[in-house]
Amino acid sequence: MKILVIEDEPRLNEFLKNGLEQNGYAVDAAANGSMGLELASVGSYDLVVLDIMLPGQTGFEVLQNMRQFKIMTPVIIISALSSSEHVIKGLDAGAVDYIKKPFDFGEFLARVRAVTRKGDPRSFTKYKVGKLELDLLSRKVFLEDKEISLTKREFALLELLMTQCNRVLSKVEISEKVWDVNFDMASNVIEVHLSQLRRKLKDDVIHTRVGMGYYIEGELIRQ
Amino acid sequence: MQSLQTKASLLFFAVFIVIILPVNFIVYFKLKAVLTEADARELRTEAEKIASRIRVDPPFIPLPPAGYLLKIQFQRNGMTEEMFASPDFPDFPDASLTIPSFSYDTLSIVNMEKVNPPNELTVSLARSNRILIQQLNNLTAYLFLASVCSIITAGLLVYLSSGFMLKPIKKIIGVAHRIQASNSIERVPVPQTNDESRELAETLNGMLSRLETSIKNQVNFFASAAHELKTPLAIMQTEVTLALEKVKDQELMRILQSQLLEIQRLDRVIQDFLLLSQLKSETLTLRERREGVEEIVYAAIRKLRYLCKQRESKIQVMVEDRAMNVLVDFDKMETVVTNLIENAIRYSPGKSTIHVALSLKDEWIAITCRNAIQKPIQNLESLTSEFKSEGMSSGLGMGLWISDQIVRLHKGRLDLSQEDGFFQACVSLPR
Repeated sequence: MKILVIEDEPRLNEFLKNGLEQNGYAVDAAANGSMGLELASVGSYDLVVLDIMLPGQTGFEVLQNMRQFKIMTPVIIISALSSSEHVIKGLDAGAVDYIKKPFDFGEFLARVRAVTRKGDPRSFTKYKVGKLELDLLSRKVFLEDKEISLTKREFALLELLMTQCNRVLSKVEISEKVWDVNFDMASNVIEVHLSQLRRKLKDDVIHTRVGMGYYIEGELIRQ
Repeated sequence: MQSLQTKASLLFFAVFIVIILPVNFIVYFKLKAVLTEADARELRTEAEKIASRIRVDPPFIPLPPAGYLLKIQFQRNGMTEEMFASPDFPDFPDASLTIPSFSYDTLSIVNMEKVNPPNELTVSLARSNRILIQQLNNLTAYLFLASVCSIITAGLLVYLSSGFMLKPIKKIIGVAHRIQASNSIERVPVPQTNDESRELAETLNGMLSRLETSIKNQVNFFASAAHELKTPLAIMQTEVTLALEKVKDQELMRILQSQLLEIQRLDRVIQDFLLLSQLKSETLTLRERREGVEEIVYAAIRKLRYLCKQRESKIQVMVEDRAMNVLVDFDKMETVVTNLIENAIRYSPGKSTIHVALSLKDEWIAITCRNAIQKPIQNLESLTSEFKSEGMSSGLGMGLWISDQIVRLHKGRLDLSQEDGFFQACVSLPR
C-alpha cells in the first residue's frame, strides 16, 4: 500500500510519514500543493493524505486539479479548519474522509485502513455465515438475500461478531472494539444494541453464553 | 406599545378638541345672539308699522299679518286698559310689557310704546319662534358636524402624514429586527430626503459597518488563532501517540499519557473559544440532521477515555431499547455532552462512577449526567452564566454557558440540580 502525504508543516509531515511506515505503508511526502499534485500525477498511490492550508495551491485546489487530471486516488483531508462548511466543501470536492486536527493517530490509522481496504485485493470485503451476508464495501447486510437496514453501530457490532465467528466475545472486548471505550459493567449499552440487532435479523443468529459473552456460530466464508 | 404615529394623532386630537370646541361654543352663542336680534328687529319693524297706523279716536286698529298676534293696551288716568288682543295672545304678567323683546313659550314677543297724547299705547306683537328655534337647531347641528368632521379629518391626516414621515424609521426598525433575527448584517435603507431620517439612516449604517467589521475581525481572529493552535497540537498529539507505542518505561509512559490528556484538553478549550466567539457574535450556524442521540454520547465518552483512565473513573451508560433520534448539529451537541461528562469526571471524587442515562419523556429526549460531588455547589443557577464557575471549575467557566447556549439554539433546555451529594445535569431536546 502506497500513500502520499501532502502537509506543509514539516514535523507533522514527518510524524505522519513515520507513523504510517511503522504500520506497514510505503509513504511519499510533499511539503506543498504543487509538489503534491506533481507526485500524485506521476506516482501510483492507493491513498493521498491532504492538508488544506498549503502554500501555493490550497488543498481544495489540489483535490480539484487531481480530479480534473483524472487522478481518482482516494483522498483523506486532514485540516485544522473544523467548521461544518469546510467539511462539506472537502467531501463535496471528492475527499472520502475529513479528519479534524488535532486527531487521534489510532483513529487516523483506522480511517486509512478503511479506505485502503477498499482498494486492496488481498483484503476480504465480504463475510458470510449461514444465511447472513455482510459487505464491508457497500456497508450492506443481507439475510436470505434480503437487505437488512442497520445503524452504523449495529453494523460494527455485527462485523465484529461475524469476523470473529465461533468465538465468544466478552462485553469488555465488544466495548473496546466497537465503541473504543470501556463502559462500566453495569451499563446496558451492549445489551440494548444487541437486542435491537437481534430484532432486525429476526433469526437466532447471535447467541449468548451466560457470564461469558456473545457469539455467532457457523461456517465463515470470506470473499 | 403605542407607535409615534398613534401618539401624534392622539396629541393632535386632544389639541384640536381643546381649541375647536370652545371656539365653536363661542361662535354658536354669537350667532344665536345675532339670529335672535334679527328676529326681534324684524318683529319690531312690523310692530312699528302697526303702531303707526293705530288711531284711538276714532279707534282704528290695523290687522296684523297672518301668523302674528297683536295686543294693544293704553294708559288712561293711570289705568291700563286693553284696547285689542288677538284671541290666542298669551296672558303674561304686566311687568313683561316693559321688556323690549323676549321669548315666551313658543312665541317671540316685542313690546313697543307709542305716545299718542293723551294716551300712551303699548303695542305687543308676537309670532311663533319656530323658525328661529329651527335655525338655532340647524346651527348647532352644523357646528357639531363641522367639529366632528374636522377633528376626524385632521386626526386622519396627521395619522397618515406622520405614517408617511415615519416610513423611513419603520424601515430602519424592520432592518434592525432582521439583523437581530439573522446572522447577516444588512444596511438600513437611506431615504431620499434631506431631513433627520436620512441622517439617522446614514449614522446607523456607519455604525453597522463598524459592527460588522468588528465581528468579522473577531470571528476571523478566533478562526485563525484556532487554526494556528490546532496544527501544533496535531503535531504534539501525533508525536506523543507514536512515542507511546515505543516507550517501555512506565514513568515516561505516564508522563506522555498525561501530556496527551492536556493536548486534548487544550483542543477542547480552543474549540470552546471558537464557539464562544461565534455565540457572542451570533454567527454560530447549526447544521441539523436527524441523529441517534446515543452516538453523540458515545463520541463524547470516546473523547474523554484518557481522562477517565487518568482519574480512574468509570462511565455507566443506560440507554432505552427504543430508537432515540433527534434533530441536532452532531458536532455542537457532542461538545455539550463532552463538557457535561468532562465536568462530571473532573469534579467528582477520584475513582467515581459517572452515570449517563438516555431517556424518552413525552416529546423530549433527555441526556442525564450524574456524578458524586465532594461538597454542595453554591448558586447552582449561576453555573450557566457566562464566566461564572462558582468554585466548580478551575477554568473560566465557559463550558456550561456554551453548553446552555447551544442547547437553547436547539430549542432544548439544560437543567442543573444537586441532591444527596450528587450533581445532575440534564439536557432535554425536542424529538
